[in-house]
Amino acid sequence: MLDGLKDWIDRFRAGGDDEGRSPQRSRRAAQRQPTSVPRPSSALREFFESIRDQMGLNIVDFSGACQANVTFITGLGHRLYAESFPHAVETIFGSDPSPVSMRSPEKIGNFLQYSLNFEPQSVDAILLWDSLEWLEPDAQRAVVGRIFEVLRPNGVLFAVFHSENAATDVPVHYFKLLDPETLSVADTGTDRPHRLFTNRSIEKLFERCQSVKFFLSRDNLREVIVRR
Amino acid sequence: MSMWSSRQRGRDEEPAPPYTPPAVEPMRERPAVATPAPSPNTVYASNGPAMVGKAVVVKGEIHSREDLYIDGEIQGTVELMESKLTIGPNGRIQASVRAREVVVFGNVQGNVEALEKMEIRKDARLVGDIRTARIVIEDGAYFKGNIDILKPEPKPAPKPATPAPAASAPSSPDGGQSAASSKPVSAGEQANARVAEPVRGGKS
Repeated sequence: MLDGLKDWIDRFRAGGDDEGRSPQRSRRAAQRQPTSVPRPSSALREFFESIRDQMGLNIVDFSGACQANVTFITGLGHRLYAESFPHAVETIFGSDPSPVSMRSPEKIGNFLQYSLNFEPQSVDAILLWDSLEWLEPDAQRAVVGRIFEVLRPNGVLFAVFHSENAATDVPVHYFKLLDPETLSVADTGTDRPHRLFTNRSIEKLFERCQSVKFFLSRDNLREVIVRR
Repeated sequence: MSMWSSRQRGRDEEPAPPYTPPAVEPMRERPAVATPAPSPNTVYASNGPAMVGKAVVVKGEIHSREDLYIDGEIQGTVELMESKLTIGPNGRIQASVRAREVVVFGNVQGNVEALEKMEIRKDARLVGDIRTARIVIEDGAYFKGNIDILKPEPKPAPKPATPAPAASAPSSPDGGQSAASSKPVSAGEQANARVAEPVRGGKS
């Protein structure tokens, strides 16, 4: 049983706050009221600088349908594809996914078909957030492989990872865009991700890409910009 | 919904009369007659939009020139170019939708084009592509698909009226009327023409 994954799914079902969560599943998240804090983000600045002065790009946001992100990205003149990664996980692997089911090649294939069904090299930029931390290694590799296929050359990806020296349980975040340099980070509790990445493991995961750039911060969050 | 519940109440209170088929009037356009101003004492059965109740299933096309509330199941296409479509919490739409304004509380699977505004309310679920001028997505809504924002085209500067030379002017069969004015235009086409003006680009 992947407790962290279940809570991650529930968090997105509840739209980023604790409303609607079952008491059992939200036991850890309920320890803390969700608080939204603006957070300067150098990686985000780099992300938007790389798509600045362009219009009509195809941008994929894996935070699901979030008004702030939709308004912000479409306001820049881009086309947004909204997808909720936790919802896709729940749809394909079930609401209580077992490691066995998350390792099933057939289900992983279905998951890619469901959540990353784009033409090759048709996506200009991806906001992946912290999605990879909640997947099994096989699924992680498959997702990154598909991302490499659908992202155009020189396309850019923004991801967030908790630093490797974080505690076993890490804060569960809900990200929204405020401006090209600032994120709103709602901290909705703590959960146990499937895996905490080191810089080396992130580089290895994206080894087929041109570059992986790390942005360290004081809050144990590592922001990463990957260029295809 | 109230429409159905009032009927239900009637059935419970009195014995059912023998069934007589109601006189069915063919669908026709509303006559353009001036309606008298309602007096303060006038009571209407319903002032709201047309409604598809939650026990109704429609397979096919729906075209409407008035606002429509759908709480039932629709499979096909829904087109309300001049009006507002509301999909209620029980609504299940498997259709392509085109309307002036769309508000979703229920479940939609299909592409939606809302010319002016699109709202996806809490607990709504929409899987499909959206083309709209403005969009509101409440927290707790589920959406999967593309969002294309339609931007108004800058209006061209009005050209000074210059009389066209008689020799080069195309002759029209009705003798003098322009081609545009000679062709009968349906209300739907008028609506399309009106709404198409501020929209840049066609379908992707």
